[in-house]
Amino acid sequence: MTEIDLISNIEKDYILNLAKKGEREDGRDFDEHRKLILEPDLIKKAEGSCLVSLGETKVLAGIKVDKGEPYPDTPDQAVMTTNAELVPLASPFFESGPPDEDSIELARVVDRGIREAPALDMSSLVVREGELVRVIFIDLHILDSDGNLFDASNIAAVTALHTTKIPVLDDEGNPTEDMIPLPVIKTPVSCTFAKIGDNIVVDPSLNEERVLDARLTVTTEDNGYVCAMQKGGNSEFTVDEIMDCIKKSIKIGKEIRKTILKTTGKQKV
Amino acid sequence: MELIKDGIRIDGRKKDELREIKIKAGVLKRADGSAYVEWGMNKVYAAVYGPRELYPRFLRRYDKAILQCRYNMASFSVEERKRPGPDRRSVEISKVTRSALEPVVLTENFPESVINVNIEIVQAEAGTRCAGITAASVALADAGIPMRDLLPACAAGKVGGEIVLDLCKEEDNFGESDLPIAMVPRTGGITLLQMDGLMTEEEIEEALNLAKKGCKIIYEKQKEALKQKYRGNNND
Amino acid sequence: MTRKNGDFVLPGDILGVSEEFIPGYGVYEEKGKVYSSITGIANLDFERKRAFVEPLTDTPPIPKLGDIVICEVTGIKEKMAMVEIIALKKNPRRALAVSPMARIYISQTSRKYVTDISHEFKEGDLVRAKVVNVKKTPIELSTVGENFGVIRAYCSKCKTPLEKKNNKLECPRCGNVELRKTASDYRKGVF
Repeated sequence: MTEIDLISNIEKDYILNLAKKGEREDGRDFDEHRKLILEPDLIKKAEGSCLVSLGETKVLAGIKVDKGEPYPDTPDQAVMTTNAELVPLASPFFESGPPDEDSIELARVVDRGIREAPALDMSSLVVREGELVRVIFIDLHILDSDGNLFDASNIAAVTALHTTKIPVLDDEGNPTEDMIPLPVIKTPVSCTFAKIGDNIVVDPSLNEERVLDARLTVTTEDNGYVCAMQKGGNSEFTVDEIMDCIKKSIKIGKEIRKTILKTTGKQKV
Repeated sequence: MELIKDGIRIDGRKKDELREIKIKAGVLKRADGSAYVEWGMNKVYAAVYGPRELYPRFLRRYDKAILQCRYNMASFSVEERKRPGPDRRSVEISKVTRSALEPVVLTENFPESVINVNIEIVQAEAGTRCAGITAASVALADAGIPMRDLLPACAAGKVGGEIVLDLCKEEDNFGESDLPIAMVPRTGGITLLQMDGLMTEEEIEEALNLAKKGCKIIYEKQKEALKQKYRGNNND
Repeated sequence: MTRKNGDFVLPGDILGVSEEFIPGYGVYEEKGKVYSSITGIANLDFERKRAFVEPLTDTPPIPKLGDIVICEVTGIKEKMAMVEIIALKKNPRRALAVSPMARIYISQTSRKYVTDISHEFKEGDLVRAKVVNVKKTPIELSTVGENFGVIRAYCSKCKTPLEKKNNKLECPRCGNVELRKTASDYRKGVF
């Protein structure tokens, strides 16, 4: 760890000095996202999928849909679970084994945005109330970890949901030949900010992430509501800073939402 | 279910009213520092060990102590028995608890060591992470670990279309949204911030300011608890 | 709010401005002001410009000059014994907050002239010692004096705890006789 600490201390000086001058190491503005590329429907074995490239960060989301019992406290709702795997392929610092706290936090923040918006009409995915509902698995595979896994994963998951098609079930709950799209009613988009010294930048790169003092992810939905937030990092935010991030997140979220809807052919004319 | 009527909430509180809160410092003998918090129906213990030698060695930081936090719920703390041990929720809460406490603990005073913060929820009813952080910071002070400030935590949220302080169980389950924060009283800085549910920008601002008000009240109770133990009386 | 000498303070309580005080124990400085970082009694010396807080809580144990410690011998080198401090006598229940590594130089072993330190200590011995230098890393201890030295030792052949007989240590199991710099209360069970 010491070696990494030493490197990140040198990088910290460099990135901090740049930020003071209003600059970033890759030449972006503070409010500028890296290039976003969406490749939906890449995995034919999955009911829905999307590969997202956010700069060099690559996240592949796959959706599998099954049937099962609903939770006892929500008999009239489908079941959804989100899982993220930080596989060793994506970074020299990821290790195989059970999910660590970083991958659990990542999955839960993505899950919260989708659940709270809500992105899916969960009540329309019930076969027999209290007995049989659709179970939706959102699995996030991190392929290349170059900063801001939160937003890349959120965009991958939400786009994949948009592309998901499931078979119509007959009265017994058995699949028929007919396919229908998942009832995606909203497109929650997260926007992650890094506080570096007194400056706040959007969509932190890997280096920015390694030196950041505090992190804030704000997820917004189509009508301009915020549906989830998560603060991380070892420093603090003022209320003014938080409000500023929310404003920016609503604005940037709109742009990204447009891209998602356009890519999946769902943009309203 | 009507959660709020004429400004009175389902449990009879006003919009800006906290549940009843009791804090006690130094309740566990073996721990280096400890605290107990009763917050509505929540009953929470926090115990601190360290700073002490950290193993494995590669986790050591040459410039500061690391904080290790463990938030854990007793299996009997909720209506339906919870499977013992860490689940995904408690792993996440442990992580955000560490992020919340790190800015107030002067970890640079103890390089290469570890400070363990253990939070046990023995009875849970909405708002356990805030109760846990509130207890943990009193336990850290009780252990004599240098801190920039105590750290109170409190939630606000939207219930029945209104912004209210410190959500109870029904409000948490059936309300629109919940926003827990932890605040450094001296600077007003926010070190824990999470939110779920729907709120507009304006509503969030209102909720943040209300939660900060709640934190200030809790801060007074934290100070009271330490005074009670170390000064024996309450006159300043 | 200004603080007076002798005030009860809590973490985060302001004590004054940086021009007034150099921060001492339990005090920290931030953005031109000094604050208490612990729970205790403010000690403000305006003349010498020093502020510290006398703790009322238990505090993380850090060895100071003159402290009595219990340690375990972890290795013997030519001129010194390497030890690990297990506990401070004044707060034995709480783990050390800093590195427990310490050493005892051959010259700090005993009043006698010692030629071979391995006749005074062996690995695994439990030793009572006094802190004589905290400026070095690792810190330095001394076992000079009858109250200091080995308080429990093991037979180097069969690992049985040795018993004291006429200034020598004898193994009750194999009869092996060994030398040590023992404390006067060897194996009395006193910390």
